[in-house]
Amino acid sequence: MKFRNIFLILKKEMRGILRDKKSLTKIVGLIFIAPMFVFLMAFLYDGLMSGDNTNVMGVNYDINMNEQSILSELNFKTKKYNSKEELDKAYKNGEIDLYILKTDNKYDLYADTLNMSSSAVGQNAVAYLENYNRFLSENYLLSEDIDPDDVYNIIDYEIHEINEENTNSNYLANFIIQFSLSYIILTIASIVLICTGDLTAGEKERGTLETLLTFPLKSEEIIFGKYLAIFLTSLVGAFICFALCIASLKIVTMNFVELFENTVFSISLGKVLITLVILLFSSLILSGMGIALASNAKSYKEANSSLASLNLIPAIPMFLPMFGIKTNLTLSFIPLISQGLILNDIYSSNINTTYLIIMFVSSIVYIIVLIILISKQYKSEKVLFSL
Amino acid sequence: MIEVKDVKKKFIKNVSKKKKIEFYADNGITFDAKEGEIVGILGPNGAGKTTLLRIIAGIMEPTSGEVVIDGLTYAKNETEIKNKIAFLTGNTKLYKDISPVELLRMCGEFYEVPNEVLNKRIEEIVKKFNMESFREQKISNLSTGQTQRVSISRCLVHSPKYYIFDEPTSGLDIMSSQVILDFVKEEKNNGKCILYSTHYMEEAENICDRVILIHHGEIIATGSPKEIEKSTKTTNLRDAFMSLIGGVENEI
Repeated sequence: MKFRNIFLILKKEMRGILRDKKSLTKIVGLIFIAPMFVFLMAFLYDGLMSGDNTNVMGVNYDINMNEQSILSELNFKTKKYNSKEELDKAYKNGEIDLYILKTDNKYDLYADTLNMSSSAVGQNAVAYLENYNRFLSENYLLSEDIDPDDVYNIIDYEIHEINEENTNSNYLANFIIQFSLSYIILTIASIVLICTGDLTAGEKERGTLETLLTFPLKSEEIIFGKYLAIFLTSLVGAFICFALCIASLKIVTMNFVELFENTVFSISLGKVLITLVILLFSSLILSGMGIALASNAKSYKEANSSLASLNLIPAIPMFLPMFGIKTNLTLSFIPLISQGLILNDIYSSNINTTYLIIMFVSSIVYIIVLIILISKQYKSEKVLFSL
Repeated sequence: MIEVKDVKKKFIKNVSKKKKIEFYADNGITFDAKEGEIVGILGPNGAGKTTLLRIIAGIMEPTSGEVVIDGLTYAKNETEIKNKIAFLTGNTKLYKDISPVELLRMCGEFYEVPNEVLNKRIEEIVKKFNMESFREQKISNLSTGQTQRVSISRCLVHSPKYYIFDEPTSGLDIMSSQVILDFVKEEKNNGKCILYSTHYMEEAENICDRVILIHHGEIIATGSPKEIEKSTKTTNLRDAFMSLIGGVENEI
């Protein structure tokens, strides 16, 4: 095999990709959606966090000054009603978020515990009752000449943050990066889809592959050149996408979003390097899978149908955490799933070195297997001539 | 000299999910072609012409038999043989996003033509095929006639000794076909050897020194058009072919 010939095929394919305006527009479009995605998510979070969070609590009793102070801190406003029927009606009409019915010293809290937002309000209402109970207890102890600390603070404790990057803003920024990286892997798959159909089945359909084979080139040189062209295009796309995501987050944290005000977003060089290596592996695997899937197709259209499934695999890691599924030994062996999950782990500072090593080693094995597979495919007359 | 020695090519065709049939696209083809000669490979669609030419061009392997070109075989001297051959099919399109000059340069690089020689040769080819006015235009913007000239010109870039043309005039109008036919005659006069496959019998009659009639993967006649017509007592190659296969009824 001559590297010169591989380079000539690579040059030919890169020229084809860069001069095909339709494909290039699609690729550039995919890349520039990434920063928009970051801005959109940041503004969405900001809207959620800085919105009007005041809740209305219905009660059947008078609120004293001390209770009012506690309720204000918990963003509660109160409305007084005379009976349970009136409170119930007000809740159903949406005038109040929950209500407390007081009989002597017993407080009955009525809230929709299955509704997530109502449940969060309910926790704040419980906090109000606990804080008020503590206030009354401390007052009683003081009236009996007992220091409340001797009762409530028998042991002393303090929580220390061990992850230096876990400031509130960094947590959100990392969360946005996790989603962005899943999008970047999807972008790699999409770029592979855009390029592969034309470079493999498209060339067969036009008859130019037959012409290429008449040149003094080996079929392995042709396919490696094509593989490198698809890989490099998707990798460059992924790196630009990643750089744009980081730059967008910097801009968001510096200027625009209130949530990130007065905070400095930082990402360690180590994380960046591991991310780039994982994106490189993802590009190599997806490019190989793309060629393997498209090579048997007889036409560009058929190749695109075969490649459609490729776009679904990188999306899976986005949904696994929603079902409580985390990186484990088995998942570390599955290509594309492992890359997505480990990128999530890296940005939630929850990385397991064993899983990381398994992912790297298995990725290398998959890449070698894919290269052997596609070079065998391109020796088959059935594949080359669509027999 | 091109020597085709008892070449057989077997294919397996899936008739249904469970049933497969084996058939020979070429079954024991033997002939040779010398420098300064146009040898026509004639036969109807499915006769085995394209498979035979692909084997001669080294892009398909025969099931048995061999192709020897100037004493060299593909098993041992693939690169040397491919450097001597130019292959053109009527179905092949060109890369649409490059210019004729870029295409010529790309082909020259594949054949490892030294840069200085390549530059000179490109200029000669551009002049020879009157491509000056569109030399830098994208191929997708060229007319059918211009595209045809570019197609042929790329075969010349490495000064091949042998040309293999697989139905090059298929689907072309009279003017575009004539460009190819003129080129074939000219290269013959330059001492080159040309294998010319077509199912247009009249075309072969006009340009070929010798024809090989193929039917169902086997040679049914070989010789000059006149010799074949004489032996079959016909006045043209079309009738000669029909006479040899026993008429259309025999086929249907």
